[in-house]
Amino acid sequence: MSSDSAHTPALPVASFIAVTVSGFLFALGLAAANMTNPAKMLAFREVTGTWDPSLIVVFAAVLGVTLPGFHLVLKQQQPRHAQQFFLPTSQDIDRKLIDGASLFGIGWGIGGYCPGPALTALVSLNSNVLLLFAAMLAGVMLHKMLEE
Amino acid sequence: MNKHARQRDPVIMEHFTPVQAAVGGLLIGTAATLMLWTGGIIAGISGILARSLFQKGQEAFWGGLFLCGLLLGGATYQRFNGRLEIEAEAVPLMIILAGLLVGFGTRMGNGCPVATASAALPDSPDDPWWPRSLS
Repeated sequence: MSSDSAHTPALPVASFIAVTVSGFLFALGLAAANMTNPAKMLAFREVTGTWDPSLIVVFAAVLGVTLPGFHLVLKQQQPRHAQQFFLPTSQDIDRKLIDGASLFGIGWGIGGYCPGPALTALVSLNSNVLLLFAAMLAGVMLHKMLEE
Repeated sequence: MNKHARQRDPVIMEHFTPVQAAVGGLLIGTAATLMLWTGGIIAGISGILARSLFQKGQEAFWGGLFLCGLLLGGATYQRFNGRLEIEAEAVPLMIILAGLLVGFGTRMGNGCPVATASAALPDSPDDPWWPRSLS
């Protein structure tokens, strides 16, 4: 509009778009890598049979971007559209983390879904996915209840 | 011997899709970096989901918006590539058990281990971006 518009903080609209686009790209990536298909995830488990190492390639590609990317981003004082970085407070490996990861691993091994792909796959309206997602939400709530 | 090996190879790599995996991984990495850069949030879905449900404020808000983007991305992919391929063989009871364990486990472990590994946070901004063990 006017020349002083450069001095005003970023429009909320811009930040809405940026964060939505993040989720959008994340889902496209999951779908492109076929991680939304439980069979694809479970094929990674079949080390003895027809093993599918695709998941290793996915992780390598993710880390190829996030290792340098996060490093550059965290050099900033603050995020573009938030007052602070919301980082995990503890990076220690403790008992709870190990137990939680183990429980997750068992569930992942049975169902072939972790949270991101499960949420993305909701759009398929596949009854198994809907059921798994509902149970996952219940698991999250249960943990919240036990925590309090 | 040689003949035997040649017969086995295609079976082992039958489902290996390195190009799609690499493209998907690059997209996911870009998305996670964009999310940290703009909203200041690590794009771990389980944590985002829980905080969007139980908390208020900026973090919960950006998280909720991210989840909307996720659904939008899934829907858009389906629009252009046909319905997402979903092959789930488990019986309903096992699916419920799997969901419960994944939901509970990711919260207890303070994040999905997959996301935790992908985040690979440097301890301080002054550290090199490659893992310490390599430097």
